[in-house]
Amino acid sequence: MFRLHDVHYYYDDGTHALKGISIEINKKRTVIVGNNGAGKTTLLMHLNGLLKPKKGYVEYRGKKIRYDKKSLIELRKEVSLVFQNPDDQIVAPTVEQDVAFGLVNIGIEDFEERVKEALEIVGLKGYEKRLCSSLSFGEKKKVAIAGVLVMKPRVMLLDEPTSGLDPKSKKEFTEILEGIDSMLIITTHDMDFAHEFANEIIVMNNGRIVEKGLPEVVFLRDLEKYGLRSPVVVEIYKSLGLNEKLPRKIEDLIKIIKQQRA
Amino acid sequence: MFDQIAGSTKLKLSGKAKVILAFTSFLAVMLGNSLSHIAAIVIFSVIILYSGVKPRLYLKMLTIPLLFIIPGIIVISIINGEERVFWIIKKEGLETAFNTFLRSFSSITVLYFLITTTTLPEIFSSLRKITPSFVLEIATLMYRAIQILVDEIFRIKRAQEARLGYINFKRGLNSFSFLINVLLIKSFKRAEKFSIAMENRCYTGKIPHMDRNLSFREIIIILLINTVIILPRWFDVQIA
Repeated sequence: MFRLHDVHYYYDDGTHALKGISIEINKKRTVIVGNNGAGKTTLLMHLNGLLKPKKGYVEYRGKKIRYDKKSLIELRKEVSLVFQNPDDQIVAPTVEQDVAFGLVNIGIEDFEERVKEALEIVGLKGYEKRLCSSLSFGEKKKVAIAGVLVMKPRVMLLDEPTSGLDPKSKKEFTEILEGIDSMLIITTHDMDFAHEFANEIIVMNNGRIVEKGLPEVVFLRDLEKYGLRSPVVVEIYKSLGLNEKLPRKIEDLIKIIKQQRA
Repeated sequence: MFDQIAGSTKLKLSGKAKVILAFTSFLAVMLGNSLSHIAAIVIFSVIILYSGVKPRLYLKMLTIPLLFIIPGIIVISIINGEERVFWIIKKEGLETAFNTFLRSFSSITVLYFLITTTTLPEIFSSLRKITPSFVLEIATLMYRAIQILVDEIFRIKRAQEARLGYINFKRGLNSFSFLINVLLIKSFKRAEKFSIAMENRCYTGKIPHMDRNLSFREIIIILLINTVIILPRWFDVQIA
């Protein structure tokens, strides 16, 4: 789906955020992990043309991304980004207006049903008339996701979707994400979420891709040298010296341990 | 505060119906007599209380305009007419003051109905057909920007208060100047993020407005309320 060729990006303050990234991203649930300042968000912003590489280029579905206004709108219809802070994403005063924002701007005036459907998916049925300023952080995050879901994008890019959420909201969010059909590319610090959710893990460190592969493979490697910790499941699995295939969920790990004891 | 109240109203009417009801009732109050004014005060007070505004808050809200109305009617009752009823207060003046009081109070009740049951986005949406789209677009974006800035102000102020920023007048002044300074910088950063967010969501110059047609039930409610307000005036004309 995406192919990056030797992509470099520098911010105005001189920070060299991406240092020659060359990678192919095509798994349905790709999770990018890395510590603060690793370049995860910068990479994500290149995938829907919000940032233009200073050197190198990005391909989407076999074609080089073009940065004229028309091409970018076409790209963003298919590739939508959800920001980490929902207040950076919400641009309209009411929930209904915000969710319908993208649709109206691509010329779809008959949006009511689609807005309701999107709000129902994220569990905000009946919130249409509510003011965005009166919502909790978790609810704002859901509105931000609904605003992207309503566009029915081919690819959804999510920047730290579980950050700042309590365990209950995090579980709800994971369920919402699991129910989404689009390809998901997610950045996160949450290693447990990454391990449970991803088909493919990309590890970034200091503007470079340092690991890429299946979670079962990547998480068994030493990630501490990149300032990351292993998921809890992996830690327990390693410390018990189990021989079975590395499970994704803690529940599955408990089953394995019980079986072994029996 | 009013936005939060309006946002959680129990009144099941569309924004357009509420705006039309407020404007037509305002006209009816202007044309009506004292009985019309009393009818408007009763009807809209009942609607406001039914919509979820707490009675104590509503009474508090009503006392604010009294600060302006009472001095006004005192002056009117003194300067109008010839025949004195008590000390310097005149009979004609007293009548005019009473009518002015009722008219002002009923207009305020109608206005309170609008602001306690209708959010600004609903008002903008209902004005869609009679206002240029760019005006509504700017107004809606400004409104969202104000929401964000108010959030920022509360966040910064809370952080300052947590570190004794307003412990005395001098510290308070100092902290306030910091707040303005930080707010200015943050508003620039926010503006930049706002622009990126709009770009990310395919912005081509359109803001959605939910402009629905009035339902039959809403038309009947508007007609009924206005008829009740204007009816005493109609009887007056018939008798004359």
